Amino acid sequence: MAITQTEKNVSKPVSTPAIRANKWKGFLGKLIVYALLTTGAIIFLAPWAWMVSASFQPIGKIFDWPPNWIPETFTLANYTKFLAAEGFFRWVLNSGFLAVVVLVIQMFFNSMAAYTFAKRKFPGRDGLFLLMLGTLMIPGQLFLIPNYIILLRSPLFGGNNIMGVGGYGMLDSFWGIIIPYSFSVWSVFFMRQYMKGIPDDLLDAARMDGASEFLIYWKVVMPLCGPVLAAQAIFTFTFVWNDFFWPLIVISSPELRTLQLGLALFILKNKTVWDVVFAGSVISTLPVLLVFIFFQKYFIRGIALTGMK
Amino acid sequence: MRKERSFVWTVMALLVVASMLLASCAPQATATEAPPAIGEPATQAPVAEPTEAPAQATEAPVDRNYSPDIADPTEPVTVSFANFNDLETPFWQGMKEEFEANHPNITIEFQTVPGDDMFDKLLAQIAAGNPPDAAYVSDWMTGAFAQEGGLAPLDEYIPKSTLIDLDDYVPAFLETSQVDGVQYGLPMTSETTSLFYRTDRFEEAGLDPNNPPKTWEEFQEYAEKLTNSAENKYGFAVFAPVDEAAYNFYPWLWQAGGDQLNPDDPTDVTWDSPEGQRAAEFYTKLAQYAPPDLLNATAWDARVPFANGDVAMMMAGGWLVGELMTQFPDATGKWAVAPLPQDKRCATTIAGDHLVIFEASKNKEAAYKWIEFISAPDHMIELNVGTPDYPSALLPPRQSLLDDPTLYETRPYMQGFKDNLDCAYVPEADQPRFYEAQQILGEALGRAFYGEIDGKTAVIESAVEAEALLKEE
Amino acid sequence: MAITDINKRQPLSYRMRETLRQMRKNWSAYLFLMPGLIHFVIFTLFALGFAFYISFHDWNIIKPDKPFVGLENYLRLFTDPRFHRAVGNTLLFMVGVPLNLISGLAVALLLNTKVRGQAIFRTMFYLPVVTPLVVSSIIWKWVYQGDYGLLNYYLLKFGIIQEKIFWLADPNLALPALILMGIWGGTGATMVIYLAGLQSIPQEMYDAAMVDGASSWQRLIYITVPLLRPTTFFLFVTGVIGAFQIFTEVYIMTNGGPLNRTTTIGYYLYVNAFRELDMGYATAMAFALFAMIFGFTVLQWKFTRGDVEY
Repeated sequence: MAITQTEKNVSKPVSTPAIRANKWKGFLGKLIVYALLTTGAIIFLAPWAWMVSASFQPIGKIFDWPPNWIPETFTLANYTKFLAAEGFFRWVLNSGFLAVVVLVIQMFFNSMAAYTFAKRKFPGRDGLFLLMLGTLMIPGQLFLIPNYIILLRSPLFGGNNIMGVGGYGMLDSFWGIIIPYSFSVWSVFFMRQYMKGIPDDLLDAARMDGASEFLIYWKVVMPLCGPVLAAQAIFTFTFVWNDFFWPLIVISSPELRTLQLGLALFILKNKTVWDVVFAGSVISTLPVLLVFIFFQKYFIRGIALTGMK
Repeated sequence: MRKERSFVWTVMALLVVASMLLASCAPQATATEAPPAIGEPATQAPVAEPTEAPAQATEAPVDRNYSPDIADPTEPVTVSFANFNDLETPFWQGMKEEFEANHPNITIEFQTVPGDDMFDKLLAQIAAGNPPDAAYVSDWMTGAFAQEGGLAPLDEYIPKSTLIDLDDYVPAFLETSQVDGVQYGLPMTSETTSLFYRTDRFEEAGLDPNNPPKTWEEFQEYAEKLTNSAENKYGFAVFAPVDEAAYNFYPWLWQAGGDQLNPDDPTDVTWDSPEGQRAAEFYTKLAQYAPPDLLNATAWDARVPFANGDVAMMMAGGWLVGELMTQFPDATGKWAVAPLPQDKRCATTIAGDHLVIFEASKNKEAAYKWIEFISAPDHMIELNVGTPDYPSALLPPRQSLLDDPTLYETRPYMQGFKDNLDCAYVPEADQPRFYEAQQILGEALGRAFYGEIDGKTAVIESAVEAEALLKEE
Repeated sequence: MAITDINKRQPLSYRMRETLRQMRKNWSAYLFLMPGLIHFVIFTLFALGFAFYISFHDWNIIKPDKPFVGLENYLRLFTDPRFHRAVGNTLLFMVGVPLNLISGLAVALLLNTKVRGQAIFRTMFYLPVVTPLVVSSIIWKWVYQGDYGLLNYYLLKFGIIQEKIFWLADPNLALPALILMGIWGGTGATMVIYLAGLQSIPQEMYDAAMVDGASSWQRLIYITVPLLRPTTFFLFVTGVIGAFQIFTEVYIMTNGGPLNRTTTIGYYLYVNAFRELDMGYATAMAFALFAMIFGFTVLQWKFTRGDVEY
């Protein structure tokens, strides 16, 4: 952003030696920015690019030396093998469905909680927030078995009676993924930090006009949260789409498999088909990238915080 | 502001899409519903008929109820079966169909679990009292589950079987499927750790590829000649991670005449005996012929440099054959398999997979009928030696099948594994906390590989620590 | 907080009445929190209670019976050298947290200028985040190989190093190598969060600074960085928590080796719970870990409070 300002300065049509020097400085600054970005981007891209390249090669060639950036033996076989897997479209559909549903539910619940923690004053707020934050620190492995039992014993799900006995609860169903993922303390924390920056004057003004708390949240705060909601959407989608371990534990039926579970069918004990796994990984990253490209434009738009304060 | 509104609309639109998706594709899955039989990807050729199958397998639909004395369920039941194999191959689908045709009241429900994660998933299921009825597991899992009462003993069913003859099973493999003399698993596949070597590298180094090293001295000499680290060529691969370091040490320990624990007193650690010290010295010094990259890796990682010819010798089980044949066709004809070199005696580790039933299963009899059916000789052959499309080089754990000469006609490498079977060694001592003790040993050996201590010190120090652990309470 | 401060010197009965009054007045706040709270109680507090109970028992997961052992699991933490080493390694992993913040902020700042192809650059930096960790770990394992690794290939080619380095196999380099990979994998996410945070800084601030003749460096130090503090605070806290729990990379890439130099608490806990089947000890470890991070966070919270409220 610093550079942006310099550039604005420069755009005045008068040309004095000082301005010319400034122009030269601006050009140099730009050059440095591009050089840094390009170098960084190449470094960040390289391992991923190698995976893409590997996905078009037979396994025997993948680990060749020196590395083959451009496939020596080009083949689409890995892709056709993965795409031809029975259930491929089902996996994609399942993953997409779960990611979208979780994203929408989380955005709603998380933003409500974040708003409350950021902008309301009520007894127990700080204590509750610290408690929630504290639980983030408990290693996730500890939740595996208790939460598995909770899903199994969910009343009235999957053949269970009201006491949670008799059936399989939320196991082996999408509920077992959606319900545990319907709220995220991490996201609440993230959104709260952002919402703290929204001037209170805006909210007070709305309160003066007699707006209800829900209306303030929905009509005043949420519209100002474009960037953070977009970031949140990207993270939640990426997380659910790429999640492997929890679906693995919960899902057993082939027709409920997600894309990552389907991909894992090629990672068998001592028989991993790496070429297919690479092709499958490339395919599985594409939707996440699309979501990223779709939402990222909200980062540069900026929000209408101006005019207040 | 308008733009921000459009974002909210986007979210709303996503919600609508989501609910539409929910309506159209959320399956009403319950665990009692059997999954539809899923076919094979079109690109894969159908599995060839089991040509190697012994005589009793015929084309005509036969009665394959191997335990008529165990009554079939009168009501429909579902047997869930967890497995880390690819259950969607025609082989497994065909078995399911055939079994269900024989037992109309039993439906088999497959649960495919990737091998690395299977133990964790089964643990969660067992803890919640909700394991599958039966599973196909690695032998170490059989031990871990059975020791703590997670598995159903098979002793009451096996005598009623017309198929399972425990006397025909190779004793070493049978032992790994028992805890305290009780049978908990049906051995299904097995392998012996053998020496894989590159014939091309042997020739380059002026060694006879038909004459692999037979003694420790020869082995060291060969490894030396095969190593040229300046050119990234190495004689042998060693692995320092805790489990690998310990596991790969045992054959050398036994060959030297030592053992891990005293069979008469399983809290008495014996790997620090003079034999153990000698073995550790020899074993840890092999690091000088090994690629440093693999020091912090596993045999699985070593398959690539072996297939590329950079590692001339490595220890591995039959799994490596299938991997080399399917994934590294360029290496075909450049590798061979031999028994491990010997010292005072010949000795090697064995491993294998078992079929087990869980104690919490409500359909134990039906589950038993299913695992018994899988154990039929024709299935056993196909799972172990594979088919042209799915080559595999595991050993069927039944003596009668191993004695069948047709097994080796087209698979010369199988002979090496089989010969190695005579050297199979299963330690007698029964020690439930052995895994913890092994961590201590593996850690010390790892330090010796890195040159922090010598091999002798590693076994002596780790024995003291492990013994303190085992003698606790 | 404010409420209790005001009422600190009032009699208890008054304070309770006042609290109740505040609760009634702000009933809608509790309603807003309700979905999250219900979820939190069921999926977090219950699980924690269960784990806390287990930490005083000996449980191997498979057997239903769990004999009570009192504080034994906790006392063992003091005498277990492997746990101590895991704590030490985990603290070393913390080095990655500020590095990740710096790289994420740098990229975000560069991308918040009027450069062409912003979208493409952003996507490139985000690519590592979308790559499944299993796959990126496989790739990095190969990148770090000594004999045939991508990294050595280029370092040797450009003459930066003269001899090959065995990154993951070298006891002194494996941990830094994992940190480096963490920066590769984490910068994209940090960048996204900073980019969102940057949007909340009012343009007027910069305009005013420009009028005062502030250089771009001064604007960065005196406007951008201070105003990003809530974001930085979030990233730092979650980064520290993440570093304390680091597991998957270690599990896939080094298995804690070489010589246990990369055994983190997260990894050691997993091995104890799901390999050695000692759930009681693993849960005790987790609560000890919790106490450590919690203490750390509270300290941080206390020290950074003051002029700006987080």
